[in-house]
Amino acid sequence: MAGRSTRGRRSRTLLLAILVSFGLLAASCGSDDESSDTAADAGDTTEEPAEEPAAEPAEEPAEEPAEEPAAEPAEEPAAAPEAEGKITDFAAYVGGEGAADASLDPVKIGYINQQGGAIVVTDTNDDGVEIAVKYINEKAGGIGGHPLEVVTCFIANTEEEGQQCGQQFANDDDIVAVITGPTVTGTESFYAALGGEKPVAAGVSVNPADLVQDNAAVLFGGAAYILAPYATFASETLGVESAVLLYPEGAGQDDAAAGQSSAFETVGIPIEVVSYPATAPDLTVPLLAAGAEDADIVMPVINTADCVKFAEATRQLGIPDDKVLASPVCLTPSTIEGLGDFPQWIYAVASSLSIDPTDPSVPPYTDILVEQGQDQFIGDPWVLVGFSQAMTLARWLNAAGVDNLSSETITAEMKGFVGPLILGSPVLDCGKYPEAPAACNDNTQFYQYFGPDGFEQAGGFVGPPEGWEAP
Amino acid sequence: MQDLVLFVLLGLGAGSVIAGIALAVVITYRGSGIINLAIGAISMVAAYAFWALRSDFFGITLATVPAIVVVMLSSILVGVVSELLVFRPLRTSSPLAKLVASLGILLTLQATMLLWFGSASKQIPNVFPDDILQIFDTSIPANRFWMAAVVVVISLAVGAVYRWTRFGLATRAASENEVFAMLAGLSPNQLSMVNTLLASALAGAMGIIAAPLAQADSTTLVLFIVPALAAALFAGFTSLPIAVIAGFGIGIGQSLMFYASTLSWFPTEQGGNPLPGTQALLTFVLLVVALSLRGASLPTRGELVEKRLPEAPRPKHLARSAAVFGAIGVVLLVVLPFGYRQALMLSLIGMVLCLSLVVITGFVGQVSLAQVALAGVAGFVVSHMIVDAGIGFPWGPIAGSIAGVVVGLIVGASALRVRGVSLAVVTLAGVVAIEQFGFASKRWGAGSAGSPVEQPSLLGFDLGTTASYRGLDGKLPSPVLGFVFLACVIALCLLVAQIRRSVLGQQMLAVRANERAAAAAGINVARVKITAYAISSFIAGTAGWMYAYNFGSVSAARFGFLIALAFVAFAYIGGITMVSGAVIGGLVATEGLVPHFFQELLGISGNWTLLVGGLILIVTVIQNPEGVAGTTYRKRQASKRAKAAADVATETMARAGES
Repeated sequence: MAGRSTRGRRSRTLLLAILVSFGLLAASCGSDDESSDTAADAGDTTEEPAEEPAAEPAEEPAEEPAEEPAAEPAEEPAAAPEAEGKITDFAAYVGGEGAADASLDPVKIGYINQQGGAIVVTDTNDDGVEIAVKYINEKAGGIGGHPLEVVTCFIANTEEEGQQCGQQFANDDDIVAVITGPTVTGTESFYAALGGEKPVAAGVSVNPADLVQDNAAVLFGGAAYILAPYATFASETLGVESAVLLYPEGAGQDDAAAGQSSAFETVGIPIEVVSYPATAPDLTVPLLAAGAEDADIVMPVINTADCVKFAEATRQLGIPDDKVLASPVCLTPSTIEGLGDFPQWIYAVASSLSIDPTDPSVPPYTDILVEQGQDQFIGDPWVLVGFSQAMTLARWLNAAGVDNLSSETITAEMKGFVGPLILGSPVLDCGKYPEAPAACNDNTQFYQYFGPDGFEQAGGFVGPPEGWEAP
Repeated sequence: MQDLVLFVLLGLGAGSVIAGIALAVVITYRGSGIINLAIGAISMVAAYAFWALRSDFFGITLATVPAIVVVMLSSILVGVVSELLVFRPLRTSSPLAKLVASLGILLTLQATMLLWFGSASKQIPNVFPDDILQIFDTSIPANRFWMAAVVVVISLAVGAVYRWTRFGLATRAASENEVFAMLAGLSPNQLSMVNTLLASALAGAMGIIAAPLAQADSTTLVLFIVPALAAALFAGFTSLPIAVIAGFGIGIGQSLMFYASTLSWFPTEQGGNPLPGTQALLTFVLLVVALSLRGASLPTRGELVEKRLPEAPRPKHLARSAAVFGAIGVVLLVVLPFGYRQALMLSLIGMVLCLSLVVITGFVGQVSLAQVALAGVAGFVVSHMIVDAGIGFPWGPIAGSIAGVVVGLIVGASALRVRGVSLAVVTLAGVVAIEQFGFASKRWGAGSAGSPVEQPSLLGFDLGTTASYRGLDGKLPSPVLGFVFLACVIALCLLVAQIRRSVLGQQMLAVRANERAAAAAGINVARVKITAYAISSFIAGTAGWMYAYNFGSVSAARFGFLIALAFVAFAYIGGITMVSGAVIGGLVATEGLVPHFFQELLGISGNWTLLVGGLILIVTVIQNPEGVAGTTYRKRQASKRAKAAADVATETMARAGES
């Protein structure tokens, strides 16, 4: 008995040693998820888009620049010089100039994103925020002369982490506002924990919970409100007569799909909508069930993780790329990693394209990236979104006044901001949709990707169809 | 008719992968009595390895055939390591222990792949011709037929091995009667190893075969285990041909459901979208029907040599334990910094969920994975009552708990003729169906945006996370909600302890030990089981509304099947037959007090947490097959006996000296 007990203890000890060794082996052979998904991947992926224009996320609608000059709220800083509704003087947009005074207490903002885990929409959005903060502190006078500082919190995998981030920001009295990256998991619990204590500047919303918050502003669009313009474009520009829409069930896209399909019905285009379980591996079957082969246009309303399998499915079925109209969630490094390049689809882009030289706001932006040694991010749409979010929040903070920063004053600036949005829409309208108070943008433009030949505009900014109402 | 035929053919693709993985599951079970949840994860590893070897990830690029050979050998190596390090030490443990250990392997493999390859999915190189066939004027990738053909050939080959080789005969002999097989000189360990190698090779092959319709990522192939388990259960975990046919059937059924969703009669949601989760619901319903018709005539592999669930000692000193626990809980809620306070509140909720498993699994031996789904039912009822009817605390939680009981009784009634790991598989399918069809639906769930939950208040007194009393650090969350949770935990722990000490508890243990013997002794087995389901569901429902108030919202993802499996693991690690085990299980639950402590201390987060968690799960299950509480109890009892024996010996010697 004693011998068996001794052998058992030795076996268990050996097991423990082997398993610990395995863990260490896994650690040493693996790349750090953050570093591989941030620096390396960003470097690998954004270098390619630098030559081939990458579309900005479609969630940033923008209207025809020439027709609707930007309105400047009376309390906001002096009007930023513009060209065709585009911001070109970034410092003036923020409301200051020169360097912030490092001896003054910093003004803190929180930043939350989903990264470091199994689901990563983007891990470069925070890079855009950091680039903007550096610019603000060095060239735009900070916030009333005070330096701006970012406190980060990331959701890796669990809803609990969203709650932790919300509590961390709510409990930190120094944090005056929050910027969010696109979060799939933990979004609801984040907002519940934040409890409306701090205003939130979202860029691209991939979780409908963002849109229903009273003190949030989704600057570049989300859900049905940014997808409804697809119907206008399909009807007025493409002249399609039938459409197919595919979306994953329970993955945050149900409302978006419902809104988009209702928009197509509004313009009289028959649309077949098919959903698939979010875990379904094979999208050829739902595509065929929807009649994608015969439809004039096929629209995936999907999350970033599904881009590769959707592209593979359309390829296997021989559906031509120019029949696909997609949001820019597929214009990510992970898509390039999976497919070698972006699919040559038509993309709805609600912001500036950072490789579009005809856009007056792009050169100042790329100059900043180059100046900061971050030119590897030229072409990365999420960096642009993060940059714009931070710059716009800084504008609101300056407008509220550094000595008067509170949730109420910042939220007032946020809700009163009507554009132009830097690197985004010339006009915003937060509160246009009572059921989605945070939906500030519902206009988008369209670009087609031609691979080595880059992006070419396929249609200018349009809004939802006349008479459309979100379901 | 043409459309039906078309979608039957289209379903061959997914069906072939499900069939292949189901085959591997059945082979593993027949060889070792293990339901290996990590089979899909082995396919995932193979997919990543194949991509890496074909894409210069490791600095070399192999041609297709050498890459396949290397991948197959790698898959076999994963199987060998699993068998030697994990399953062999657990050979005499309960099936639940092996299930939990396989979950640990799944998590470990998943985390390793994420850390090695990142979160972006990789396109697995296709090994089949890329031709397109025109059938009924519709383009169908020819690779689907190639996939089906390869899986059929593999299945026939494997079937031939088991039918006409001595190894196959030996495996069948051992699966029918392990004792006689051992007496005949067959080594269960060797049989288990060879079967595991075969299953791992098959799983690895599926990782390559699945290329046309799957990517190398951390979830796609892993989650094939769910329909594969369903197919294996249709086959009774014994019949290879039926497992393959059922696998193809499930794939074809899913394909037909896609077609059906485009028809005018298919039910839709409020926005006009097709009703979600119908595929998962169909699989679950077919499973229940098939099992109800087949009854309980399922083989229990290795039951004569496996240990039963750990003993369930009679709890003592209830009042003292409750007082101490309550005092410590109150003090911690007040003095801990807010991050730890929140972690403690999550642990309290975890304790309640683990308690529900103590009742249904620990006391009655029903391996039900539905507890998390029952918690979700309660959580969603609470939310809907507030949002739709303006009814809040305490009526919302009461209604939520009742709803949990109602659904739990339905589960219990349908599970009366199912037992053991089969019940685990059925309830797992049920969890998936409830999550996708129920919780993800806007009609009766939360849709994709989650459903808000207003903070509780009673007679004007705020009981929620934003209550005015903030604890020592003055920060959110307020300890007040934690006090409510603590009171619930103490009350439910006392309830479960009293049940254990009661006649009902004795009857539960009798049913757990041997249903036929219990029936022969006059115990109404069905009534005991139903009562256990009702109690356990009530407890799980309590956890559901606790979650709802804690997070301020409910969402479908909160109550998914991986979460369900995780809580079985936590409860098992803690000690699934003891109230104290549930307390320990709650402390180690996701983002609970213990994980939070280690995260703060060691800075472990994200995928590293997954890796460490998986490894710790494996080690803990092997080191403490009775759970931490059970091991502690056993050691304490052994120490008492040793002390008593020493006292007797001393007294005897003293008497001898006197005389």
